[in-house]
Amino acid sequence: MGRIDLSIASRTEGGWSVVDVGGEIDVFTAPKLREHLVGVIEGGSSHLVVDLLDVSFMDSTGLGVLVGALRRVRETGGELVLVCAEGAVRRVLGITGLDQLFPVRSSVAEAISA
Amino acid sequence: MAAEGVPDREPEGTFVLELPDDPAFVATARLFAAALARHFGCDEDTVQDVKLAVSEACTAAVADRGTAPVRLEAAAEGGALRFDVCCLEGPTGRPAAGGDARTARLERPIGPTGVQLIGALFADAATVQDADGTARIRFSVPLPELR
Repeated sequence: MGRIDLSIASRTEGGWSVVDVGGEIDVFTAPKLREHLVGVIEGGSSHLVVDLLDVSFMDSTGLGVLVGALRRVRETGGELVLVCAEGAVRRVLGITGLDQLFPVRSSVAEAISA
Repeated sequence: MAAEGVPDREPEGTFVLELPDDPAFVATARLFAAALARHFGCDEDTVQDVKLAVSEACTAAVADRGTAPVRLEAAAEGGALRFDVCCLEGPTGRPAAGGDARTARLERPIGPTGVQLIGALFADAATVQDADGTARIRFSVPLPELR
């Protein structure tokens, strides 16, 4: 009852590693996202776009994963850009002020062309 | 007492959901809280805020309680829908053995980001302690006037 899952897939586009995420990010699913992002970064990618357009919910555990990934890529001179629309995800970024820490774009195309 | 994962409505009008201390069930708590908020006429932005606050509170409860169940209560009273996320200390609801550990939990009932989020969403958010030692994370949602 109420169990959720998270879909995660990676691809390369315009020299960026694009991680497409879908579902809900909470204490149960955040470890899966963390494991995936760590794998992408340790695989040599330092410029990441995390596409959250299909994420319907995210709480502070998800924010923690994203902040950790941002710190890792910036240590190597990289960048991590978030893609999200107005809604639950954008709102939690705003409440916590993390929309000032992350570059936030409305589409993957906009993110990789910046 | 409600069965695990099954919403119950107590005679006095308090809605109760009791869940295992499994992170997988935090989503169930969100669904339960969102359904109640919609039932009482909250707009969709408020419903999303309730989901976020309940998720933060239940995450803190799951992280801190070991094997004890997590109990989510909601009560509509005085023009507001009040949520309590409380953590039963043991199968009987009495404090478990190990007072030092329990004290530490109450001093750190929820992580700083969770506090920031719940406090930003609902001004009256607070952590309270019952006489039996049960810790509760509490907040309330103003309800629209009934038509």
